Amino acid sequence: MSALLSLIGVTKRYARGVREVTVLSDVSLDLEAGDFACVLAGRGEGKTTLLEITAGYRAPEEGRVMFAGRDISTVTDRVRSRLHRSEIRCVLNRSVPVVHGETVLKHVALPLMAGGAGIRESQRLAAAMIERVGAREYIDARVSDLADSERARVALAQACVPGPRLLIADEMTDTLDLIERSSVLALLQSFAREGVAILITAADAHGAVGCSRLLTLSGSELVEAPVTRTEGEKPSNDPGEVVPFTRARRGGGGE
Amino acid sequence: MPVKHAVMGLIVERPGYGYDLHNRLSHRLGPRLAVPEATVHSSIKSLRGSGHIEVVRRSFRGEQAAIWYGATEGGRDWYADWLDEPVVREPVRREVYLKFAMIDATRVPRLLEQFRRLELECLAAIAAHTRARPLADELSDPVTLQMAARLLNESGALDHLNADLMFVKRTLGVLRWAEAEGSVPRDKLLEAVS
Repeated sequence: MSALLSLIGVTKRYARGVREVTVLSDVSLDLEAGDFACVLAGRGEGKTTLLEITAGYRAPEEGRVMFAGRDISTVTDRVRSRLHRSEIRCVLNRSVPVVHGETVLKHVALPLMAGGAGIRESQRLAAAMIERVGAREYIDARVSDLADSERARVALAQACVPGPRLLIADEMTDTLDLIERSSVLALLQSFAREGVAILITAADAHGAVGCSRLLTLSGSELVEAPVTRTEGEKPSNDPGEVVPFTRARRGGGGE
Repeated sequence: MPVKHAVMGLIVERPGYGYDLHNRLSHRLGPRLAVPEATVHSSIKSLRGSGHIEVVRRSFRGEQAAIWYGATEGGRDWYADWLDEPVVREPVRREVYLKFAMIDATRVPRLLEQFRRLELECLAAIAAHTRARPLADELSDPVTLQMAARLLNESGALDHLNADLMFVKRTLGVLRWAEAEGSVPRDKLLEAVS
């Protein structure tokens, strides 16, 4: 199966004072439909930059970002906007939606209306998605009045309502309590099972529960732990085989 | 983890055979802390050898024989003693801290290599835990005491692994600076330990 998303040799540098800092170095990643991947890393390790480049919001200095066979790091703003309305959906500003509709229902319906759907149809589909993410109780509330955990569900509903192929979310569950976080992660897992490729970040291992692939940024390189073990096959503190992802892309044995 | 004691506890609750005991232990521990079936079998062998359990019956399904074990009086006492023993907190002073404390400039490249390996090991161990399905939608209300224990144990294990990973990542950051510059800028160190 060919990858839905491929980052190929992505490198990003920033100027910090007189220094130039390499945030991402020769990063490669293949994501297929149904993959649920989490990049687990601390502050300042480049995970937000990685997501912004993946979404096409930032261009890498070197390398390419291929989505469905197209290099999205070089497409026009118009094409990128169209992709972001439907196929690639992002929750990059944590659980706080960037654009507020007046109510949760109107807010979740926004991307559908922006894509040309009528108000009635948009709100019907939005209501169904709100129900699915467990936000029915506050469908008529103002988005600005919601708690963090409620906003996370609403942001997820808004991101998923157009039926994206790729969902990108930055530290979406980091401010949630254990039960809320677990519930949102279970929702993400259910979208992945339906074929949505999901790439999220987390600052804490609890934010990676349920993901099928686990990665981290290590000194600007992306590394991945394999998750091929079956239950009980080895003790959980046995590390098993591990592969530096920047050296060996998924399924490969090197360059 | 003293698996042998947990297997003994299951047999004290009611007799069981190898496969059954492994299933019951997996249910109590959850998939993230589950132990291999072979470990349960070796625990049974050891418990039998020390006289803590005995064969109480044999059952057959087709040609498959299951040997059922029950607890002996001595085994019950031994298990009760273990439960009453105070739990000892594992020391924070671990080998990795001692190695890091003994660092000098000549050892930076070797230590970097070791910490890179540790980082991957931590990540792989976390992946083994996080791969399991989130539990929130499986919880009844109120939660049974056994399920509460399982959730707390899994959460504690993940906290532990996460702390290990973050320590290793911070240390790697400092070692990389030491390798590139020969020293560590104060702001980088404070960023790492804050």
